[in-house]
Amino acid sequence: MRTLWDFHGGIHPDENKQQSVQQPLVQAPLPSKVILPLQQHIGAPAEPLVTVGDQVKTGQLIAKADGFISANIHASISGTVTAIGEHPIPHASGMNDLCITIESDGKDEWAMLEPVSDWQNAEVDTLLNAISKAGIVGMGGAGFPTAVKARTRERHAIDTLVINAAECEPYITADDMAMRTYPQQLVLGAQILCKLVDPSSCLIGIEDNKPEAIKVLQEATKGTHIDVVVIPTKYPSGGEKQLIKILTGREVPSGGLPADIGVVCQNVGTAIAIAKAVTLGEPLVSRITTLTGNAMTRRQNVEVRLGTPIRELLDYAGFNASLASRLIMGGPMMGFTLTGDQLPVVKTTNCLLAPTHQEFPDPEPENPCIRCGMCEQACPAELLPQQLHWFAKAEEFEKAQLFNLFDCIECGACAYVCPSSIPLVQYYRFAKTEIRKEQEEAKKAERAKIRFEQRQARLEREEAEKIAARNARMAAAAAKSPASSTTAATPSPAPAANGLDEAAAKKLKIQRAAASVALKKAEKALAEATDDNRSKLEADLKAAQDKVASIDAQLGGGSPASPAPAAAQATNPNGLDEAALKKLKIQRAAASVALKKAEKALEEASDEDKSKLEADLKVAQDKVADIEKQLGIASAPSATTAAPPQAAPAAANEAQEKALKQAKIAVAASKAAIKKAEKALVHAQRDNDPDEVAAKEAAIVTAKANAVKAEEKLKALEESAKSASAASPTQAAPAADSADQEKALKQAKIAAAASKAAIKKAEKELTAAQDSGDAGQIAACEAKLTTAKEKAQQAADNLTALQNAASQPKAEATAASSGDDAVADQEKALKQAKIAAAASKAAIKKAEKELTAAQDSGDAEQIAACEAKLSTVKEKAQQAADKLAALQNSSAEAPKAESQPAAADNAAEAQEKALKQAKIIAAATKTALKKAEKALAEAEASGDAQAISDQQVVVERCKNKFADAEQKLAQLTGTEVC
Amino acid sequence: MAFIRVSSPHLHRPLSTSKVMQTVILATLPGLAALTWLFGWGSIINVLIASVSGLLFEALILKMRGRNPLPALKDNSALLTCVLLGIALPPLAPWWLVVTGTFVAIVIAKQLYGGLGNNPFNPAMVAYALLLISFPVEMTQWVTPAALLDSSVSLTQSLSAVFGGAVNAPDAFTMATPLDGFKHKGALMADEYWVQNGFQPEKVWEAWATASIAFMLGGLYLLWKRIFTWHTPVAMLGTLFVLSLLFYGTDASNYASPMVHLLSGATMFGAFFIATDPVTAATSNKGKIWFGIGIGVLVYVIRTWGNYPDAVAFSVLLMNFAAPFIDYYTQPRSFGHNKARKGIKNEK
Amino acid sequence: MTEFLSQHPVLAAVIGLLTLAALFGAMLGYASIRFKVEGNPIVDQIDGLLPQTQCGQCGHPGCRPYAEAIANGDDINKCPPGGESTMEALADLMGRDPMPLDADPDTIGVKKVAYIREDECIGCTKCIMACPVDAIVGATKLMHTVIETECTGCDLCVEPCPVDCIDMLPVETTVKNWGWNRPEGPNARFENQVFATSSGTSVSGGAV
Repeated sequence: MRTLWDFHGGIHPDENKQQSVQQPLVQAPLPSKVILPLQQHIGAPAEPLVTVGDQVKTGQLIAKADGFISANIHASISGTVTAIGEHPIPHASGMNDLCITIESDGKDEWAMLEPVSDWQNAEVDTLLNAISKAGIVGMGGAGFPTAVKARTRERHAIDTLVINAAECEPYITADDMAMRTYPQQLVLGAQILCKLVDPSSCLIGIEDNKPEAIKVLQEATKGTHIDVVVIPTKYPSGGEKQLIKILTGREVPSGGLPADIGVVCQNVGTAIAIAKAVTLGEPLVSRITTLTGNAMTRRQNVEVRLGTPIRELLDYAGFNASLASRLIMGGPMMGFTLTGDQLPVVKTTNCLLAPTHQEFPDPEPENPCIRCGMCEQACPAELLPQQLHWFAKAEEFEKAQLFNLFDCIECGACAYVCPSSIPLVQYYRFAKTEIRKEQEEAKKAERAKIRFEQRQARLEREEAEKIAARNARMAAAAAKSPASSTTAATPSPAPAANGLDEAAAKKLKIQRAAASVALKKAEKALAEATDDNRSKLEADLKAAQDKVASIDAQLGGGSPASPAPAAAQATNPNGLDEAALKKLKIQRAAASVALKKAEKALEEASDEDKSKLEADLKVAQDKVADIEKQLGIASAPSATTAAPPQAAPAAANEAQEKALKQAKIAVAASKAAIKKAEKALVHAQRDNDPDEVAAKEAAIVTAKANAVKAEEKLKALEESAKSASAASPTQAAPAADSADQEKALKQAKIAAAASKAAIKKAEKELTAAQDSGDAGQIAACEAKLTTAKEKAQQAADNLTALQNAASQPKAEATAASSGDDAVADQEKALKQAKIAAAASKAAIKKAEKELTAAQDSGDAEQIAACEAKLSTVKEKAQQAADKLAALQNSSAEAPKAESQPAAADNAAEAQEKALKQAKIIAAATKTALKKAEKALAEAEASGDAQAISDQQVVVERCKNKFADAEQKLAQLTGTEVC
Repeated sequence: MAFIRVSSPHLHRPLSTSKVMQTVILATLPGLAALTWLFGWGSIINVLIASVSGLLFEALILKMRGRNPLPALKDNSALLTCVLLGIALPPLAPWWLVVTGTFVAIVIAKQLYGGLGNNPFNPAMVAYALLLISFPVEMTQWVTPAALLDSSVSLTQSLSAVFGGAVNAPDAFTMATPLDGFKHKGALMADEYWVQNGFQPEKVWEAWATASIAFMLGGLYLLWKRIFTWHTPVAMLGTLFVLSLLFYGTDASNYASPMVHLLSGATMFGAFFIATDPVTAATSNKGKIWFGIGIGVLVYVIRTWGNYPDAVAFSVLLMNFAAPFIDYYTQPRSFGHNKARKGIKNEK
Repeated sequence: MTEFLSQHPVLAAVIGLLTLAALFGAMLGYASIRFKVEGNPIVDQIDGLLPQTQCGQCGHPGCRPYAEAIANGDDINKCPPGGESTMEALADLMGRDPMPLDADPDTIGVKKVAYIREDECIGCTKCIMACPVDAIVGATKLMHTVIETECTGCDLCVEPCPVDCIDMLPVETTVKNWGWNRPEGPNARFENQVFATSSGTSVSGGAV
């Protein structure tokens, strides 16, 4: 005899089980149609696989499980699908839900069944698969998908499998009759379950009011390790938690699962269904249901097809509606009333109860609670039902929760004993629903709050952008008005110098264009910036605006004065002038490239090195400004001396180019928008928010549309540019050629830059992935990185090839102006070298940052790797710097050498350029020195000896360089003075 | 075809509130019979007057509160209150005393607090305490046990005493209760007092003990019928027994014996019929034990050192105050929880 | 010292009081630093009680501004979406007397959700801009739709719609969110009390 435990409370209502066990278990007649709700289980509703009009066979899958906690649904009869839609379902609410209706063809043809041939030696997964395929759910009442429950072994150590055969509710005898009729299948099902959950003991808990079933089961379990444990009859001993307590003495923790204490509990009907599913391959298409209550004449158990309308069952049972006081699905303690008879039998329908008025009189009106405490004595969950009732009544839901309302199993024992006929269970259900609603609403409110705040932040950002744009426009307007005023003013003092005026106007236009480009850039940066570095960027923007203003002021002041030098230069030979102009233009291009680069760097830079980059940017901007000034000065005489028809196409070209540039910028912006949207999409997908994903996808689509438009525009512009250049005078032909060349070059450069950006992005992603520690992601990122690098390589190759090609035709064209081109070549090389140097510097910086990060993280291996990387990068940087220096030297020499045949002015100009370069170099080295010193100070502060010595070396080097630069500068100034 | 929709459970135990009340009233019968046999018709007259007036008051006040008086009258709760009050009042108490008592019990102590189930204090005891304070003379005139009288008080004498006013009540009919004797004279002197008055002290004890045992029998019947649980009466009587034994053991001359405490006065009546009133008592089993212990202690303390000879009414009322507090701190451990939660404070 | 003090009781009293003052001052100062409360937690608490529909029916642009206003003495009855329960919770929190809600009594407590009649929608995006919680999706010239689970039922999108294609519909009861009503209780006035009938339509105990 096993030790049995007892649970608190419980009641002993009249059992009334005899009525329905007088007749043997029979098959109910086949229904004329079946109505199969898509949700007959706990979890997500199944997904229909059939459509109206489909022919189905018995056992055919017609709706498949949707998600982990869900269950398949099979046709329980052969016939035609006549409807998929809302139909009343057996539910306490009496409401409708989605159902599949099948009209029977009367043949009951079965689909092919696939049994598991040798279940003893089958894989656990095969068995689980068979169970989940069969759509088996807990048939005791709750309807929890059995396959999920059988899987608990994956997360919990299970030592006891309990087969719940207690069937404690009055009237119901479905399990009793099932045990009497199919004892072998029950044992088989229990054995399969044992294989699945691998417990050390398997107990069949059965109440002592079922002596026949006990005898049959004891017979059937002979020779197995399954124990039939007879327990005293007491409601609700068949409650899962109560039965486990009785059999094992363990209590399922509040809010926990039986698996938490090493127990899995399955119902008798479930075990039999499992046996059928595994050995016969038969899906869950029928179940055993008790038809009882004195309003029926044939009170017995029937095996009924799922989905059978209860009308047909009631007819079979000889139901007399006039006698019935109500119609109940389930038992008298926990069943729910049905409001109609068109409802189907579902997987959890264990009983149809039609009591007479004598059996179940209409409920008494509720009387006041007299706090008699009988409910408390009856409660199997050891709650204070009476207190819970007060709290539910007063809607003090928080207190109800404190009094463990959610431990209530709604067994109805309290309401059964209540002398005041208080519908206690209804109170608890009401309270539970309300609490769940409140929780749901609280969650929703929280979500709404977050969404609102995010929206608010977004609006603020957009507003800031708008303000910035407006400011920019105002600044531009402000720049325009003084300029126009000066141009308007100039004619009166110097009416003769019309050409000069024109030149001044052009210059102003160019300057304004440059300045506004800078502004736009800054604004874009501002738009893309995150909150923290916004202020810096705003400062930057202001600086840019100031610059525009200052340039304008300068020009305003300068243009009236310009006639003097212009007049002086006007005497220069035309060719010479043109050459100078070209050179200046090239210079300007270089400077603007540098500016662009600096700006881009600023955009991409993280906070720490922003200030440095800003300094760089300023330097670059100054340079551009200077060059432009020169250009203005130079172009002024050329404009006056050159023939007007020649100037016209040039101006047209320029306009074209500007438009082109704008279009390109638009393309880039739209592309950036796409990228941003995609990133947001990725984020959204990661957050798993379908709505947001949808929203983001829509955003991407619009962004892409924009991009396409922009690209089209660009193409159109390019074409027009091409045609324009083709249409330009013969003189311009080679220029057009070179323009094409240049365009290709530019494109290649853009490609290179893009690929570099891609690399950077990939690297960033890689770091993020490394941070997150997701191996798969890391691998993916690395792969991406490699492809990106390859692409970059290709782009770089392409670029070099193009550059070579570009230099070749130019070399060929040297016959006319070899010097200039040579200079240009030289300069281009210089530019490349500079770019390389800058890139290597950036690489150094990045490597250093990585190193610090690594040091922070304290990963020795990573530190070592980073250090190695840093040293290689530094080497490269050194090489680049060397090359640059060499090139600079040669370029410094070249113009000098070149300038010999040229005029003295040219030499002076070259001199000046060299001087400027030297100055820039000096400034750069000075910045480097300062930076190095700062780094040194930091290193000293950190007290890292290695770092200090390293930094000291760097400082030393920088100092040397600075000294060199200054020396050179001094030399140059010396020569100038000479 | 449509059927009613109600929440489960659909089965109900055929034991309603009115049945419960009816059973309790039934259980008072042995005690009432003993009182009648021992002290004459007075108690029955009390019960009748109280019942009639009480039901009238109940119907009236329910009507005034806009509620259907019929179901409320049918639940027998007002009747029970009146029966208990009638038993608690001294036999041959003047009718207006009884009517005042039922008015206080039904209208003030019960209905003005919201009716059945909502009254914090035991209505019968509220009325009793109020009458005891307001009319101390009438409330302490207890009829001499019939066994001690030559001729028992006849029904007509009783009726005239009740409706004719206390003035007409024959002096010989009334005497101090044993507890009274103790209060003022001590055990030995009480005996002497009765001896002086020509009564046999044994017979006085016997009469009171008989009534107490009759009430106890009624209470045991209720226990058997599971109308209430053993916790409150056992705790109360046990406490009283232990305390009196303790003091009696140290100083038998100054303290009454446990038997006196248990079997005289309203001890048994209070333990089984008053302290077990579920509406005003603690609800959990543990709480009921504390509730009973509290009453036991208070009864002993007031009887021994207080001003009143008996103390069940005051003790029960005082513990009624404490019932919510006790409830909060004696919540049972719920299934699946490791520990019982104390109080209602948030666990956050 | 003690002698001196006992000889000059007035001086002793003054010194004593000063000492005490200094002591308590120091304690208060310490406490103000040690137990410093950051921010204004009451606003957070109020904000936590508000339903976060962000509807602006209180006259404030969102729930948090209203929470701040309540903290600064604004009335607590201006939140119709929150209904009586919110008002009572606010009264409880703020220690104020409950007051009747400042709203149309018919609409209190009815949870609503916006619904766009999609064939009438012209894709003007005006409702999208009005929605405080970004619960409407769509693009220019494209049909819009409401993300039902995110809609707080604030009404703000109804007004801007130029073609009046937005309806505020009460949230539908489905099998999923259905729940038993609260029983009517024993104290229902007797003239209202409905007893069960076999016809099945009316039910006792409020179990409807």
